Amino acid sequence: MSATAPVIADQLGKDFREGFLMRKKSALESVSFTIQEGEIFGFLGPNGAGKSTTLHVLVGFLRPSRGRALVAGRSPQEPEARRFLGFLPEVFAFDRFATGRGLLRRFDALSDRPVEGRDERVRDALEAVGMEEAASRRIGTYSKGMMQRIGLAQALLGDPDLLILDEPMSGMDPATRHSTRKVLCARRERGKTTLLSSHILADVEEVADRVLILDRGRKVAEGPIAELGEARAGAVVFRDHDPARFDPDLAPLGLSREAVPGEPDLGILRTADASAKNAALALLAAGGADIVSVTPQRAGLEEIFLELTATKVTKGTDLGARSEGEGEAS
Amino acid sequence: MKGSFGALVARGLWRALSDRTAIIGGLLAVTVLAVAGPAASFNVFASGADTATRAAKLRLYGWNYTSSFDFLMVALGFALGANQIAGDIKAGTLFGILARPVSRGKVFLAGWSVSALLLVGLEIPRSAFLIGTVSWLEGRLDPLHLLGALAVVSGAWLALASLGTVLTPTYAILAGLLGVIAGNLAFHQEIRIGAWMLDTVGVLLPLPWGQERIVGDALTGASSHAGPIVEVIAYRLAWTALLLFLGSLAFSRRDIAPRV
Repeated sequence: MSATAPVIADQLGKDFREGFLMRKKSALESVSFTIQEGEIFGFLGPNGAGKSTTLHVLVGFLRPSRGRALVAGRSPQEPEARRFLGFLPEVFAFDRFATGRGLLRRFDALSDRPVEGRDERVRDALEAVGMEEAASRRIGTYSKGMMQRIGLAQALLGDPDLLILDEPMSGMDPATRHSTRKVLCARRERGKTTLLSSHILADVEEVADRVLILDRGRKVAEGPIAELGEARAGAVVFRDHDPARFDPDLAPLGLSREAVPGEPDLGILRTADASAKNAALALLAAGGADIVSVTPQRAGLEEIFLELTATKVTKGTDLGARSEGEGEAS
Repeated sequence: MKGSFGALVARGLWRALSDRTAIIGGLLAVTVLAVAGPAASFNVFASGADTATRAAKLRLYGWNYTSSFDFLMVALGFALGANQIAGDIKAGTLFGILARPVSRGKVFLAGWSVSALLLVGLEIPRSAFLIGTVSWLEGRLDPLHLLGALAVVSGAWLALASLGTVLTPTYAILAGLLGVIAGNLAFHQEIRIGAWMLDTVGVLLPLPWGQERIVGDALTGASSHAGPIVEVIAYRLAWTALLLFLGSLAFSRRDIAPRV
């Protein structure tokens, strides 16, 4: 792979035409991000957010309406850009009459790789997903989980420098999910890059170095999970014979005290604002309160995700219903 | 064939021949021909004519009796091969292929090549029987007879390319317009090439009458000049190449993504 970043999206936009009148509908709006070599990049968003659209642009299935995408320094439309790329779409199918091994052999040939080493490459991919025993069976007889694993195997074939996975854990049992996460982490140790789009936030949180959150075709957050979480919450716990006496002074700082059930002497202040936190600490110290702890409370990925994208839920919009209407654009 | 194109064609052939309906259709077509050829020859051999007359009659009846197969052959070829791209998109099996370092043009051409090979496979029994028997009776192989059979196959290839390009409407319209313009130009200038050009209006009806007469003459032995049939073959191959180019260009620029 070239020295450039494996994936660059610059002001990427995509419109679709819908209905009889071919009305324009935007699925992506000015999304920019760069994925560095050797990182696992989580790609998150509710249904219809534009995740799959972005991935399809990066794989060359769709042409961007605006902006540009570069994969290994090339336009995704160039076949050469896909030489070091493995892709697992969210929705896929393989020839039912082919065996798992036959399918991988054919895909290896389609990648223009030499015949020498083909058996080894196929074996490695099958081993990575634990499908060696079922490799001689016809794909038409596979269960959903096995389909997902053979799909992952074809993406891993040839140990590509860049792996793009769209909902890879869907339909997998916990043990397979665990081993898949291990495969992704092992790739990272070898300097390989992965773009992981998933609704299973726990999986992304466990393996991703950075995440990008999309909502309605726009980027709403990007960065390491820890940083995104730190920016969101911190807690100051203090003890005083009458914690309520500080309330009038805390209110101008935008802080409200939380009581602790069964501990009338304790009060908790939560804030993401560092200056408000410092002012509160000075106020409490000056007032003679005992500072029990100052904790940087990191929000989990799920909290971050919900905070950034779930306003629609709290306002009563059903995400599920929305996904049906916008599914094609996602 | 080597590399990814060979792998695409091999996969397409394998996929087409794994289809039960396709196998039954192909077998039926070959059976019809296997029966039609000997049936035509039976009358000829029972007529008591001399060998030269028998050979001439066999060429005439053999090709005429089985001419309706030309259309069946195109329909079968399209159903078995060219349509596989649309089927692949619908089934979702195309996306694993498009994610590989394979150009869309190769995928399109491979789809057409699969149909073209299947057509040749379907044509072989008829041509082999008629050309082989007539050559045996005459004691020599008439090159025009071979060229006539090649013209039939190239006509079917052109039909397939037209059907494939029709799937990409913008380019089909462009090809049609080009054909009309070229035909009109040729008609008014009455140039030598006009005979070919006039037929270009029939590019979406790829077996125009003017060419069919030339092909028929070559197959039945009514003509002894190679020029016209070579021109027809060249015309058909050239238009096939143009349509394939336009079709692959259109396919390369299309947005094709899984429905999620």
